[in-house]
Amino acid sequence: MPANKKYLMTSRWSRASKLIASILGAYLASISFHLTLTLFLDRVAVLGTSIFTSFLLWVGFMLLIYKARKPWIAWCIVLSTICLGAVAFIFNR
Amino acid sequence: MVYCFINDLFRGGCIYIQSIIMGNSDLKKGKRDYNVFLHTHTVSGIVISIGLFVCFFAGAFALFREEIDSWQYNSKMPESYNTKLDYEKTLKALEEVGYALEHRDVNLRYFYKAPEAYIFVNVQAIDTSDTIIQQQVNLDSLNAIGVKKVTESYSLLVNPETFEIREWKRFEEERSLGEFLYRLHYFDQIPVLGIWIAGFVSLFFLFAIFTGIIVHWKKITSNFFTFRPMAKLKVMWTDGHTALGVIGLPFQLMYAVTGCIYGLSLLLLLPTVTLLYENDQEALFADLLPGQKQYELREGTLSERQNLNDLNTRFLASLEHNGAIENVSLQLQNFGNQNAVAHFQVNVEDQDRFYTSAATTYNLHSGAVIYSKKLDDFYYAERAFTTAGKLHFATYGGYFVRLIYFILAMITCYVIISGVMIWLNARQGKKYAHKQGFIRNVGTIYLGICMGLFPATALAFIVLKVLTVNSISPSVGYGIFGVFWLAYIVYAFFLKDFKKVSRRALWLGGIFAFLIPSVNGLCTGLWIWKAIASGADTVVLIDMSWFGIAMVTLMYLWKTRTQVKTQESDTQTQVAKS
Repeated sequence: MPANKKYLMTSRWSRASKLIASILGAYLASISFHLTLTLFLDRVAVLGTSIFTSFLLWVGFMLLIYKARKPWIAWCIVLSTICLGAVAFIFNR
Repeated sequence: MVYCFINDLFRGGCIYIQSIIMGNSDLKKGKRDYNVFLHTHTVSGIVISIGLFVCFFAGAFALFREEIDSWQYNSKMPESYNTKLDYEKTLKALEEVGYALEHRDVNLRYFYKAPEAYIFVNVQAIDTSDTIIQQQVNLDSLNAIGVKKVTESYSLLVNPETFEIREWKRFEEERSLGEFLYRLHYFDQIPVLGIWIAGFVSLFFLFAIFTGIIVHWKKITSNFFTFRPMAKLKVMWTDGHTALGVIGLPFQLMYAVTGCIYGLSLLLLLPTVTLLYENDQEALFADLLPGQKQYELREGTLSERQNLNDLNTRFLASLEHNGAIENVSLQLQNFGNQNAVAHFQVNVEDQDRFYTSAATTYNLHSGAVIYSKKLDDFYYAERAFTTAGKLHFATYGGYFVRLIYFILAMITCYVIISGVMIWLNARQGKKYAHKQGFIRNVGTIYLGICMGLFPATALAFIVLKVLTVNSISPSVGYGIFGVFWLAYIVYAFFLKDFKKVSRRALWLGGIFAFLIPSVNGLCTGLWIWKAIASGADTVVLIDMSWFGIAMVTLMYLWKTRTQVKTQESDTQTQVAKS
């Protein structure tokens, strides 16, 4: 049966926000995570593994985003991952 | 018992991780999560359903594209690849006709395009920004005498026996049926965007798989053997969708990931090159694929060089492999320059190995080995890429694995269609009465696209066989394929009956499939029994497979002809009357 609408977001802006977070934000978070890993682990090993795990983590972040109750929580998850990765990347380069 | 323990352990681990991330209070709000993931599973599934169906249906046939091409041209596939290609004569033939190869990268490989085998030659454009080129090469004079401008890349097909040269571009226009179906499965017919669409379809497919697992988690084991064909339609579709979805789960997960790799790899490479390698692409490829390292041009031309055929012989001897060779390719870098290199790469047939590639790079002046990768040498990134390729293209395990893949692909097509049928059937009640017109139109167009692909594909086999025998361009056949498919979609739209759209597509497909061996026999005289007697393996494979598909389809239709799905027909009739 269809999902019960009382548990779903009604606002178009909220839906759009989560959609953008799940596609673009999750992608950037996944890339950020893997690029940060290269600073601490063998670069070639991380890159070789990332051809599989990048997409799995991308979808993992998508699931987390939709699990979050509010769009701002979803963006917090994604942006915090991106920012942490960026900071680690900048300081370790 | 062990399975239950592992199942409970895994579920407990997931719940524990979930509690850490979202807090214990959310554990009690499982209904919200269930509905959210059910909704996202539904939406993502519906959005990608058509594209995904085409991917899997065409992809299933693409597993046998070489066999299909051989069947189309009534030729026998070569038993083994020709590893003793005459590279020297090939290059000489190209230079005599006027193809300038100096200071350029030239790739040569054995290439089977039914009904003949060729040497595929790809010549890269000269890098005019390179200072060595600017100092040493007179581009204007080369352009004046050459067949092609040196600033153009182009591909050629050379006959390995006669060394007759044909342009590759013309061959692209005469694509064989197997190649056409292969390119259809990643939407190559849509310029530029096709591969990207295929990549994003794979990504959302991966998302739909995970959300489907979450939604169905509690009933995966309890409902695994549940199939109630006599119950309500929605129940029947749901049982089929979940059971076959679980059976095909590893297969679907593998294709979702490898589909993402092939469609969206640029999204991984771009940030990696930009941020990690500071825009140095060559450094990236040197790390990931050390055998593909790019060597720089040096001052001076090569006055004497090693004989390429001798190097090929040395390379094959160094493999220490007694079995058959699957293919061998030669990449010449900076041909004619002081720093010219020859990179040989091969795949071998070996039942005991999964990773079967080896490569060696020789300096073309001295013949010294610059790089060598033996069959057992381990390069992690290269093996990761190879794993993705082998899994995706089923280039392991022979015909048995490809047959399993084909069956699982058809199961996945059923899972896709059943998912949409669940969506449609769930919206047949009074609650959706005001949207019935829209839902019916969407449903019939969808079924027309998906179910119509089956008879269109079978018809393509018939038409292409007739056209090939009469030496008519295959483009006509692809046009007929497209027109028939479109016509069936329009017919489905006006028919507005899900059951009739599906059954008539199956009837047409079954009848066309039944005719394929007969048309082949009439056109070529190679009936199935003659093909078996003469050892024409590919003809037997294709004809018998289509005969089997026809029998299964027609038997299913015959057995279910009296089975009345009154709920669906009555509901549609009632809505139509209202």
